[in-house]
Amino acid sequence: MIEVENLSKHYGPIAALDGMNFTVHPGIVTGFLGPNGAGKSTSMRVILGLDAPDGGRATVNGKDYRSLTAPLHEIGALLEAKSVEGSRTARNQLRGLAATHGIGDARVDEVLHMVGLTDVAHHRLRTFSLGMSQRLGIAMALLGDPAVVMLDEPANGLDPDGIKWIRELLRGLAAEGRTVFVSSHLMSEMALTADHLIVVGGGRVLADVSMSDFVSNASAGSVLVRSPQAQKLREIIGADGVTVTSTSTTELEVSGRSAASIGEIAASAGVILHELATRAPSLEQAFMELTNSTVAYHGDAGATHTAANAKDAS
Amino acid sequence: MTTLASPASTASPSLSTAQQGVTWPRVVRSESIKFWSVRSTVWTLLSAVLVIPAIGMMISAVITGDVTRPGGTGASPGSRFGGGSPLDLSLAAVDFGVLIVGVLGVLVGSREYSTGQIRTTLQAVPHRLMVLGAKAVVTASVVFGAMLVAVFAAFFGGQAILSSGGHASVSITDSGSVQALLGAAFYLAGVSLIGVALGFLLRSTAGAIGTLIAALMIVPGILGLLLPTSWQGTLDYLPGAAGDAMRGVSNYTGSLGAWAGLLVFVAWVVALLAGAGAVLKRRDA
Repeated sequence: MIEVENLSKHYGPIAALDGMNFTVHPGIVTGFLGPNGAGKSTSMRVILGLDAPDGGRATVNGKDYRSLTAPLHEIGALLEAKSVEGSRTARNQLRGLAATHGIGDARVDEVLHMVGLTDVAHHRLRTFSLGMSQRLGIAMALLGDPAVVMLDEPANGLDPDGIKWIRELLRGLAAEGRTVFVSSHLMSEMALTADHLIVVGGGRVLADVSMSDFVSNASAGSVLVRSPQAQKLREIIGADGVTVTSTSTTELEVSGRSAASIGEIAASAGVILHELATRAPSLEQAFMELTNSTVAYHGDAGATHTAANAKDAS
Repeated sequence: MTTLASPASTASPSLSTAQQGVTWPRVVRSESIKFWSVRSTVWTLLSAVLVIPAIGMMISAVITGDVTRPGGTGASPGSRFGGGSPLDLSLAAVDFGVLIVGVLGVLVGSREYSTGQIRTTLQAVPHRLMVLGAKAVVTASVVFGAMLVAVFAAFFGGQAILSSGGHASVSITDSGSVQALLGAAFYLAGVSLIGVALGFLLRSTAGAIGTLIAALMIVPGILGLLLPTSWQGTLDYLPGAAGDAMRGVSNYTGSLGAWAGLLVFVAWVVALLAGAGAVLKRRDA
């Protein structure tokens, strides 16, 4: 379990954390989702006792990180995969880490096997690709067999095979009852892996929801209707909370009413339908609308009009 | 890379609970593994072990005239190193070795910051002073041991060349020999610790090496030129001069005795390490 209470941290005038609040529970995969600069990595560094917050508190299994006597057994973390010394071998990198907790070489070889690096155990780390470095980082995180696993963008640099592997690994760890906390800036990856989502932007939590709630909210979407009698239909389906827009004389886009309800109304009024389709906005779209107002570095296009939506959504 | 183990092979969350956790000997062991598993530290150490006796014997050979400089027809070639005792001649390369072990210490301190490895290290050992302490203990003991070998090799090799060339030489039992040899190894180990401290303080290899060279080689000279005569005595308290007093080098002109020199030198090392510890505890990693 990871608990984060009201964390704040400033780098000069910029607030990296601005009242960050969340709890990560055991037994499920929790996705930590937000655009670059949202405060994900800073939160993780504070949780690991690497950075001190200006205010607030973070605990791992109820304890301050710096008071842990065997941190590798409590929480295994991967921050930046390439943060290693290039002339050391993979196995020696793990041995050095393992020695701090008296963990033996047998466990080192076990985690190397687990992440598929046995064949390159004696290769120097500067020869490793980003994907191999990610695997080594995961091996370092799992070394102490910790109850909590926290990974920052672990899918970065992995090929599709590797991404599938890590997804199964994370789900397996959660199924064993561990707390699994994984950050990403890609909704598509989270959608397949996470049970719960903590969406952040601008150093704050924007949404703390189960994946199924996030999906069903996002799927509220709209219904596309094509009908030769579109204008007639438009009059009879109107109601409170229903908005109808039309892109042409034979097409309507309806939100606030389900496809089933539109079909029934059309049938009872004898209106011919050529097409009736639910348009779920992609999860990526829902995520972007949620975070758009807080994105630190916008491109020019589409930057302003979604800000109001994001406010509603959060 | 081709074999992907299934996630199910993860061991169960309950590991054997016997003697879990971070202890001081374990952190020292970890830092020792890290020291020996990186090329740059090992090569730097090895170069100091080779260079100190090699230069010492070379200078001894030049003095005795076994080796002459190309075109060197002038007065006795030894005049270049005039004033040095036979003991100091064979240990002349200690001043050069200082640079090498200083750089070695800087690498131990700063390199983890430049790679980001320090974050992994401090995750495993949240008690940060343990990390600094373990790095200091490993570096100082390895450097002391290796430099002991180097200076003894320089001494015996150099004295053998001097005596066989008919030049004055000293034996290990002569007064001052053991002090000079132990002092040199201790001095080199201390300088490597100054390097470690500077590495942690500045977190930059280039900056820390520059500061180390300035403190040991440039600042004494500049201060010597700038300070009024009545203040020259303060120069005796700089780390390099204190080290000279401690080692009992023959051309030492300062006012400190050997034990006072030892105390002053140790005080420098301890103060810098304490500063490094304070910064390490306080700053974000």
